[in-house]
Amino acid sequence: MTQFAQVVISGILVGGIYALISMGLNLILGVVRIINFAHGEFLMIAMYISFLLYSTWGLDPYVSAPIVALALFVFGWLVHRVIIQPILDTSATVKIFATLGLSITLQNFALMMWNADYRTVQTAYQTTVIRMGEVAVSVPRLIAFLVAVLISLGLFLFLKYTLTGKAIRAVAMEKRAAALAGIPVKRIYLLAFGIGSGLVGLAGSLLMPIYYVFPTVGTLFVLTAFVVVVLGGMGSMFGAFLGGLLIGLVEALAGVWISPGLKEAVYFAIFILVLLFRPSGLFSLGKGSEEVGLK
Amino acid sequence: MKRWLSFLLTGLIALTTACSGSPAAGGGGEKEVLQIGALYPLTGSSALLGDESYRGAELAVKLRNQNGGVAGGKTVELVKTDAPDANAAQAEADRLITQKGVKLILGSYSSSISFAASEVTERNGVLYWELGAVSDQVTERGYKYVIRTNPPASHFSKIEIDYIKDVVAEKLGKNPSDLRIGIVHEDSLYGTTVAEFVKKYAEEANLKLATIQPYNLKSVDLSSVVLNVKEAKPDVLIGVSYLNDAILFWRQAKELGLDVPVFIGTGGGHTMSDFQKALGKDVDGILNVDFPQYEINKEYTPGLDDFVKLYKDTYGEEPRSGHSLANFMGTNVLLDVIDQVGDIDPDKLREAAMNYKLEPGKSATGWGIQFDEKGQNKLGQPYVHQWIDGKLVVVWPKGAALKDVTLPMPKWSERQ
Amino acid sequence: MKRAVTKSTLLWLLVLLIALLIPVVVENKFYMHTLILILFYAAVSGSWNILAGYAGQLSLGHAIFFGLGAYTSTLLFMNGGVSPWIGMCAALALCMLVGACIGYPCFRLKGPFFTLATLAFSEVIRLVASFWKELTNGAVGLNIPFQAGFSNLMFRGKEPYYYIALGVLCLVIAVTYWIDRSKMGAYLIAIRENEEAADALGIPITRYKLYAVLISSGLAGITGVFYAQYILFIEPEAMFNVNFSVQVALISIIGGMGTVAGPVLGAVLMIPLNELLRSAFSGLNGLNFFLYGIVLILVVSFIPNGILPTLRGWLSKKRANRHSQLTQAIPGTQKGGGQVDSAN
Repeated sequence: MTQFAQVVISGILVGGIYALISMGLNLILGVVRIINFAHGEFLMIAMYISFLLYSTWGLDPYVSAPIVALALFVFGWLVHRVIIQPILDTSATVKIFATLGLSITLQNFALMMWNADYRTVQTAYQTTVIRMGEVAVSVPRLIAFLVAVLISLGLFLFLKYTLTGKAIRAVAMEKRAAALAGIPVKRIYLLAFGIGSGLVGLAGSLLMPIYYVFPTVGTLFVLTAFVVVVLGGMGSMFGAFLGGLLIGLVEALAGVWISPGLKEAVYFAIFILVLLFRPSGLFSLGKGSEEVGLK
Repeated sequence: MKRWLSFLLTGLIALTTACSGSPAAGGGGEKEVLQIGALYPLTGSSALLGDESYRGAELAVKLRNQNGGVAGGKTVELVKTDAPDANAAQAEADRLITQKGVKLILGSYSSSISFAASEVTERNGVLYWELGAVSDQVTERGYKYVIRTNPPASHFSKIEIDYIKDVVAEKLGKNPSDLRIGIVHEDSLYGTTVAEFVKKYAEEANLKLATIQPYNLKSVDLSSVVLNVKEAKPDVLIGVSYLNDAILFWRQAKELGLDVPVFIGTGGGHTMSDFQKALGKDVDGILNVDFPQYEINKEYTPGLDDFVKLYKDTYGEEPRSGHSLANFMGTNVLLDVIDQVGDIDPDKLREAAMNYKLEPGKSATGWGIQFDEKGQNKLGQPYVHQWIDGKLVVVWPKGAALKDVTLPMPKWSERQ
Repeated sequence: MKRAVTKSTLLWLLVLLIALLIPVVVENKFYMHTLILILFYAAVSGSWNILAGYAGQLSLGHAIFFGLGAYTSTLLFMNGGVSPWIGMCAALALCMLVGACIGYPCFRLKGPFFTLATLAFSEVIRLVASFWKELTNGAVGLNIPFQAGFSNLMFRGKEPYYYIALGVLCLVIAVTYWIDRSKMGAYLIAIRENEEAADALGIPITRYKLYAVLISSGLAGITGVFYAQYILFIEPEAMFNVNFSVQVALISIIGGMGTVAGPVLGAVLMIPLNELLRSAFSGLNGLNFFLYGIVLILVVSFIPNGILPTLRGWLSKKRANRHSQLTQAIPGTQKGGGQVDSAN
């Protein structure tokens, strides 16, 4: 029984990490309607910045998180302005392959700059746990989980109640109508891409005490992030959050009940099933999904 | 927009041309230069250890050239090339052979790259000198022009089981046949190969297998692996991991309170200095079977200190693992053989290599050299190391050992 | 129209003739290897092009069929001594079956979601292939013992491989050409351009998409058999590799999706570029792929339709310009000039 409880807790905590990484992707996919294949590399860049701040000025990843988020916001803004904006009106193929190209470029840029070494930060709390009876809860993972909750809540409120948030939602739902209503669609796109990237920056900072950074670290997370976003339902912040938890749980349980060697295969299979039977995602409102060809 | 991008591109091209101008090009004129192809994965997911391996070969050549070259003053030059996957390995082997006229290729860290490249060299009658890939199949195929200086995967597993039988059982005060063995391994080529051999030898030695947990290398959560092992309660856990999964496993093992009396890693991640950097004190007590590392009985490994010094002078850091050392040692053997033959002729080199003998304890790794008819060196063996005070120290076999092993590992609750 | 067909047929025949003669002239093995890779990639990419370029189903799981083909023939050869030539037929059949099983349910997904589903399928198959050791030997991979001979599809020299790769490519081109000229091609393009409209016109959408995936996956399976016999070592990591799927797609995209010659042109440009970057920039690890990535971004951004259609569009515009200059003096003839090459 304790083992089962431990598996569930561990699964939920990993789910929090998946949710955290997927939030930015979700915003970008939901609003700009572009599958950013370089998302994993954005995360990698964020982790490197966090690491560099730690190694040069001794800044704790949690302390430097706002700086990293800001840096990634600017980075995302630039990427959107220079690469994405010119190809917004082209086919899905072009968008996919432009971001794939960006992914290759960034990966190898990191390899050239910092070579293939694995970088980690040492913190006092990196493996501290809270014990509840036999069940252990890792502190850095718990923090990541709580921040994921806060972000999804914050984003939800931001999108629901602020003027900018409403504009973003309007663009996400119906681009043309939004443009007719006088919303500057281009600028909203830039903003959404920037905010999405900033969230990735935050995720990178929170991951640094748990994981490690190396040039291809993004590839470990990127497919999972796609799965989470589609599973949860694009554009729905709570959807992404719940999707993350679901994947984390499925992965942990499959690892114990089936085999750790197949746990990824299990969640990909679930992903395929959801895609086939409820393509708008488990928790999506279903709105706006027609535009990307979903019905 | 367009102008901006084209400006960027021009800048890049200028930058790259500047970078690619190799400094080695302006070498001496009249000296004869012998070219050797060097094939390693230098990009992609194997880049770190591929590069570390290449450094060993590079240093051996550098040192030899500084000391007057081979065969009466001929200079040796490595033609370095990047082979991130099997397909690229074949392309690059072909390119080295036909474009550069290379008659000898060394490499290659990764077994799949070694397979692919040696298919090409074999058909071209070019000698393939393997320094680091561990799959037994590399030499088991019976290819004429493949020679390997490092021990294969089966030796790693054999040493692990022998060590458990001979040393661990006694230290734990148990009968070998009562010991419960667990295996956790990543399920790519390397992990699967070693694990299969461990299984085989453990069964032969009548050891009980408590659990086998394969996992995907790209996993970002190993809690289920840790919990499955915890449930199985092995006395000895054998791990086969690369770096990211090794770090993750140990962090999660600590968090989830997995205590095993003895843990034996099998090279890869458990060897790397980055592993120690990531986990700090928590690495202490972990055993690791691998190519020789740097905390070793120096009497047994002449030339090791020179290597480390040269490494630091050249790259400005400590060696990142023993991969470079193993490649250094194997390249030295190759250079000796070339020195004897005087030229690069695959058939003559092979013949000379077959007659080349070196006792254990006379090289930088302590390995001896004697090749069997398949080209496999029989006198190279992995050593058992233990992480002691943040250093990976050789504890077995006796000749090479620097310190005595301390077992069992303390429980997490008993550590400071 | 009739004259245009003969012209392009002549051009194809000329290219084929040159291709047949190349091994006579080229002896250098590295060039031969690169040429074989070009033919091979053109063939795989051509098979992808049928599904993605014509039917508009942008798959990034093409490695599934490629790997499946390689494993089918290799397992038959190693366990049953079945000649890879027969294995090729088995691979063809199996890949078509699997293609149908994956394609049919996925076809209701559109755009990026179809792409993501194919990616997920590819990952599932890779993981299962690694895990199912009894069948595939897992990640240890399969070393095909080298026994030269025609019936084993293994040769000492490069020339036989070259001609077989050329044969496979010709098959792919012939099939594509046939689709391009037949009713099926028109249907597929209609589906690609606007599914609702195609449906309204009474085109049986799912059936034709299914035809496309059957042909595409079957041909990919054949290329997989060839690759296994050429490299002689297969492992799940290399055979079911997402990067391979990406590379294959890339070649068609750069050459020109939905054209017969696009994949060939793409392979002729991209494979040597890759090799060139690798050999030119070995000094700094990663620089070659860094540049490759930048080239990729620039090409898809500035010539999104691929090189071939862009080139054709440019040529026809030029011709049309000249035509309109000539005909300006004669009113009433202007309209016909612009339509000459609208078939593209």
